[in-house]
Amino acid sequence: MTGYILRRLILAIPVIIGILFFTFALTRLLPSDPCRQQLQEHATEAVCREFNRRHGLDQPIPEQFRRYLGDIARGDFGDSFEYGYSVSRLMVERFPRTLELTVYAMLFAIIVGVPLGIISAYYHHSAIDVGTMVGANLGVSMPVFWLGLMLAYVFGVLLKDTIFWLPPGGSGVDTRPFYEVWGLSVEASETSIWTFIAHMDTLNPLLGGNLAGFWDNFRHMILPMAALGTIPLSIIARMSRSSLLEVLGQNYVRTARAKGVRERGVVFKHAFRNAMLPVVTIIGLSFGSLLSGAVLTETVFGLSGVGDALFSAITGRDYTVVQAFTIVIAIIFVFVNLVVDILYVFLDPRIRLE
Amino acid sequence: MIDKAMQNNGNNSSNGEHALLEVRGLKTHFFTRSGVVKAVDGVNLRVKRGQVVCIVGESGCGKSMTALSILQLVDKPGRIVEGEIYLEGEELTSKNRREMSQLRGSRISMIFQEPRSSLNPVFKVGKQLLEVLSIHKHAIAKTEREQQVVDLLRAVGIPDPKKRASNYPHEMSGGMAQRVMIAMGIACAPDLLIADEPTTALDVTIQAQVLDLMRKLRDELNIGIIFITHDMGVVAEMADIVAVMYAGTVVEEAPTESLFEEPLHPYTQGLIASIPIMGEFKDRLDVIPGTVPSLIDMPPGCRFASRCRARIEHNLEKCLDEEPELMEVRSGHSVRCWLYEEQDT
Repeated sequence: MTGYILRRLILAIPVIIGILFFTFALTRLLPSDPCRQQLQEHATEAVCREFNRRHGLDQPIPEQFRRYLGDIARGDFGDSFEYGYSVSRLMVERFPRTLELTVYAMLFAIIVGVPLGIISAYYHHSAIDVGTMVGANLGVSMPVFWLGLMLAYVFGVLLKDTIFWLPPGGSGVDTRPFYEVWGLSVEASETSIWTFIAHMDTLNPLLGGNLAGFWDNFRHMILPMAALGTIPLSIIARMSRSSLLEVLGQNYVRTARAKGVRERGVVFKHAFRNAMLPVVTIIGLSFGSLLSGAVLTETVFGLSGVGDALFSAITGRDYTVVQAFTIVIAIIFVFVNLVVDILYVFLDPRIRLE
Repeated sequence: MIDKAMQNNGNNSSNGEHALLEVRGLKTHFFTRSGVVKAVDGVNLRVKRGQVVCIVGESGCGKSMTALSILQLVDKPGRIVEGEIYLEGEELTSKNRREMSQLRGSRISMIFQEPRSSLNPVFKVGKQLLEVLSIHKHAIAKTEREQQVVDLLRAVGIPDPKKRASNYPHEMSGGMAQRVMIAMGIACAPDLLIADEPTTALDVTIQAQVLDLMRKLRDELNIGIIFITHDMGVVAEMADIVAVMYAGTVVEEAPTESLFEEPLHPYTQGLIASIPIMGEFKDRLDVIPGTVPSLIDMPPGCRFASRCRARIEHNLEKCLDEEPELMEVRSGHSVRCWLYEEQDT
């Protein structure tokens, strides 16, 4: 097992290097250049020459890539052209929020999607099934930004002054870092793990025991979470349904019934675990689309997370930010899928990792 | 007429012999888009304790569906539309789902054709075996149940049962898996064991062992066994009583010896003639000409009429218009064929 994980991690290295190369090449293939995008009408010939020299953009591109690889190897992602400080600091500022949003959206998709799939499969061809599947088809075809706007309109505007009102944008109140609440004297630099955790909108107040703060920040997450989670939810519901339907027709399910297992036991004990195998794969894969979907969702709901930063970095040709964030997202994606493969071993005894 | 005779035996325990299982006029139909498939269309069956009743017939004749109907495990769109099923005088078709699931695995249990796919791939076999006991014998202490699992595995001839209990189904051979299924079937000492082609997927030596095991269990536990097969060789070896099924009905029912010595129904004759005999050379194997009629659109008259040589030889007109009843031609030997009409009266 350890050998397998190690091998998978080693195999991930060429993937990461490939991504490094492609993002590097693609950013440089974009028309216009960072200087002109950043400085707009202030970009004169002389200013740009100075700008390029300062950021090493006057070097030949292979030389830039060589330097870039060297920096990465030392854990230095470089400085942002736009913000003027290190990309690492930007990441610590922005990443926690996106991570929370993604995790909430994922949980939402699983907690709602799997039961919907089970119900549809169990009552297949009934009105419940047809309704759920029509809903799932709608959900999977709705553009994230449109759904986001609609949700914001319905819950933020139409339902204003009712108990169903939800904040249509923004990210809630700032809460005291949990380590201060705990009275820890930690060295919380701008790129430390403490700051990273303290930047989590809902985890930080929860750790700090500030329930009101947690609730306020969580309420700001609900609409983005629903907008972002709807597509994976629909996919998970459809997948759970078809997978469970298939499993319910298997011989061992008939055996379970012949043993005297009650219907509930047949579905939840004998069929469920088998039916979840393909669903777990789908969940792993949708993590990637969630991270990219976060770009649009954050823009719609005015949440300043990775998506928001990445969006403005692309339009501003902020090479270092685009590269760094793409790499981190890719690494997370590779890691999540490794976790899924390992999870398989525990779910299905027939699979052995050699 | 045979029905009447059965009815007397079924409810009347005055002769001291209560049939263990009695199926009367069972009809299981499937309501599909292309029509009503009459998979089981009027089956009568009787099983006594200590008896092996073989249901024999070709694929699709309704033998498995008869078995699944007894346990009420017929999947949608099929359901039992008519008939009664008595287990020691207790009617089963009127029982609700909960009552049926209490009965399954404890009083009637069933083993299936594909042992390896009939076991859940994600649970250890010991756990799956333990489950039957946990459902039906929850009064017994857990440690004792675990001990019983090992004892059961030993009883069905699995070497090193303690270790084997923690195997997953994919780590077992087909023969071993079928033994586990049998252990599961007998775990709660049922009255009736239904075996649906339990040896079809196994090679012959394993088949012989499994058949031996089942006979031994019948003798030791005095249970009734319904054994479903399409293999006449297995029938000869296992059965006390044979019921030959064709297109959803029983066409002949007889004690094994009587059936093999003098098969009455032209279909049974064809089946027995089609068994190749070792050492005998034939250019072609004997076959029954034609195919089974569609179960959706059954022609009137005898279901076998279109394939029947005897009908042409004896120039019987009736066969195409009127369906014969099951009639007792000799003691215990009944047949559904117009050829024997005169003898009957």
